[in-house]
Amino acid sequence: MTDDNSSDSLVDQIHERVSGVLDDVDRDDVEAQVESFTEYSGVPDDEIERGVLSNIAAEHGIERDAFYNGGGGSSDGDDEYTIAELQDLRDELEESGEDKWISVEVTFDEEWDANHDSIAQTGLVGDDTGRTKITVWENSDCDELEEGVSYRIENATTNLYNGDVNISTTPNTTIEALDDSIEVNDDANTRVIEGAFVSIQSGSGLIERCPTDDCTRVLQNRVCSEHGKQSEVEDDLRIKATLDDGDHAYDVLFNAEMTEELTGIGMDDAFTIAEDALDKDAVADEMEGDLVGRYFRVEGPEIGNFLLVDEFEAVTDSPVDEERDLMAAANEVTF
Amino acid sequence: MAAENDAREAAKRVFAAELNDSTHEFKQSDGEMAPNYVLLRSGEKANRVFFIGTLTDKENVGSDSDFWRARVRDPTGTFYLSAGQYQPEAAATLQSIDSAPAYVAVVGKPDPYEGSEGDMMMSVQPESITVLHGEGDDDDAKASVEELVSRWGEEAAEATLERLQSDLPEDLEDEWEAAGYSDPTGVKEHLVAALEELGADSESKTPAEA
Repeated sequence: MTDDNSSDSLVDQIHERVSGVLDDVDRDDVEAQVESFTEYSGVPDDEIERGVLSNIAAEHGIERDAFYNGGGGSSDGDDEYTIAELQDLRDELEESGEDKWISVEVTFDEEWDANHDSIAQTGLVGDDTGRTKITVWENSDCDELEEGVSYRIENATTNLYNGDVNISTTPNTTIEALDDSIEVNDDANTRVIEGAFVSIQSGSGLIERCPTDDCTRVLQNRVCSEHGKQSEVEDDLRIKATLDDGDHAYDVLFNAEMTEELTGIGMDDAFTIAEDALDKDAVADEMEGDLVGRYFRVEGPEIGNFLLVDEFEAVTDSPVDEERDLMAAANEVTF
Repeated sequence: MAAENDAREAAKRVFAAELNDSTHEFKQSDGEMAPNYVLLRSGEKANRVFFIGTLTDKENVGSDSDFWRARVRDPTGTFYLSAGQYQPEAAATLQSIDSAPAYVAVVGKPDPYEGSEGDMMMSVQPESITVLHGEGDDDDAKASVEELVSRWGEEAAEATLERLQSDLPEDLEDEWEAAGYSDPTGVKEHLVAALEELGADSESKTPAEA
């Protein structure tokens, strides 16, 4: 039997999972689905989740697997093995969807601001197969990584969260600087996409993250899908947007620094906007007003299901190749 | 693992004249939530459209609840928007605009319906309406938005041309039969007219760097 509290958090959990893949399923839809299951007594939560996800996937014509990105970590030291390359890591995780204990030799390629008290450092590490995200937790007590230096990292965990490949340190992790320099191929999974912003997705603007150690999940109504309702939060700024070129819709992500560069709105400005409107959502609304309908070219690594924007520029030049005479071509069209 | 969101339909660039004529509606899979498409006269399916144009009129025609109608003009004709209780954001935007005219960017779903005389009409259900404000002082701001408007026009022209030049996708052959559309001469004519208008617009501005 599920009581109201655990039912609510089940709905949140499922909704969070769905929102990572579909942007037009709201919480009420999920709640209605969950309720239809809870009317049948004796169905456990994980069965409900599976059933609801299956229904939603079928309704949207997508594979149910799209929702399954692995859950919490399993820490059995005997499972440790060395991944030859980051690409192997991605392939492994895509197939099994599980967390693994791994060792890698990589270069710390790019450091990002760590906007969370429990995080010591974050950024991108890379080897010749590409780059991926790393999170060094405060409680792992690791030596500080330096940009451009190569390291052997042992006993780290990895997970696919929201399609994001993330190497995470643990208190068992050891990091050793290497004499050799591992060359980073930052083109391997870098992409350039050009299009118009057609939507600013939920979870953009001034967002709240779970303050629990080792968790940075974005909260929905102050609820963490893993840790439940939070009274304290860690604030952050980001934009999850859909860039559309008429042929495809692309998911692109701007972190706090990039968001400020793009919109001119940094954390302080964001707080001012939120305070004036008495609503944190006002930040995303303002950003939306400045971005939707505008053309941009963005560039960055594809990490999971998003392009993580490193560089961008507003596009103002003509979309048509100068050489091309559209008028002549149009007149020549026959059926 | 890639940035493409395969679960979300791309926003097609279509001119108003073509969209208003493309009223044949269909689905490609079963299920209540499977996407609805219209068959464009230029030979492609569209579930979502994106356009930039001039809002020329808006009116709240609802009685008990808000129901907004709005008209957005492009180089070939007019898009007719309807925003009611299921498009709250768009309705709120329309409400907040002091008055037409205004340059707007719209992302929305084509929604054909049967008119009072039994003929098929096209309405657009906006997912978002964004008023385009320029940056800087008045003249610069106006110029920058006008650049955006004509950029969309060129994009739509190029996309339309490509659809006309390409073969009909195999998966749409049955629907094309069912739609009973004639050859897209109309689309070609509107395209040429749009290109003329876009060409005339750019001539009246300072020529761009080669």
